[in-house]
Amino acid sequence: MSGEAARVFAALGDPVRLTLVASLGPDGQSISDLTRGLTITRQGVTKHLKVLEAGGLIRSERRGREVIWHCRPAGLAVARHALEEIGAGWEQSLQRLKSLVEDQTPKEGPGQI
Amino acid sequence: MSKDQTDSVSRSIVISGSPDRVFRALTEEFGTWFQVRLEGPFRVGDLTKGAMTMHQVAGLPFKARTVALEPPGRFAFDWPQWDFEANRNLEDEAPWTRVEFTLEPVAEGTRVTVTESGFAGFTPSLGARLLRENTEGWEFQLAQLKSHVG
Repeated sequence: MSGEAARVFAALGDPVRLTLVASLGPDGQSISDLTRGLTITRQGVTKHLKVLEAGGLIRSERRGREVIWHCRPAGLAVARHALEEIGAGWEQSLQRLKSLVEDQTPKEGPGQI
Repeated sequence: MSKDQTDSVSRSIVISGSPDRVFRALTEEFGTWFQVRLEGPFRVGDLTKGAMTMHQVAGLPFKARTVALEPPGRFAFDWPQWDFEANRNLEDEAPWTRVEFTLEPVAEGTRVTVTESGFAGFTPSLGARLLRENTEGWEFQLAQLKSHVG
């Protein structure tokens, strides 16, 4: 796993942050939009947004007097890519397990440990 | 998006052979298919160590704590993540992920499903530390390279 992937997983490893990322629409949302419906304070939401921003999962944009938060699909792609790589590694390992079982005759072969 | 999408990864395969046979290969012949030289067998609660023999990662340490060894249906262990950039084990600073194999009989033999989970357990402070240590790790590697070459 890369340090970048670890940061993305870290950023996503919290239910509030997952909710925040999931609720960001294509046009972005302000802190007020995001705080609505949540039981935590604006300050709390801001703290979580900073973690998500550091993880590269969201970005902010100033629009007039407001800060609008947007999703960064590339951030999520890092997490997905890391899991895909780990999944691909397991696929290869399972394939070797399959070959070991299916190619092995009762006599001892080079595959024995 | 759900937590599951970033917390776990799962793959499965169907193997021609009974669950008993597949379970034996999975556990007793783990070293052969996973490509690692183990120092001992898997025992629930125990740490099993070894050295990878897979060519891309040959020599890297392998370490796993067995969580379940229930023939012929389930085998599970926890293991630390390896940071490939810094080329080091994250056993002390990151949560260990869980690897779980389930075996079920199917018409063609046995379906083996492996699920690795716990990726969402990485904490923000860890993320920051990883970033810093990765940088230091590379500096160390470069210094090693330099002394090796020079």
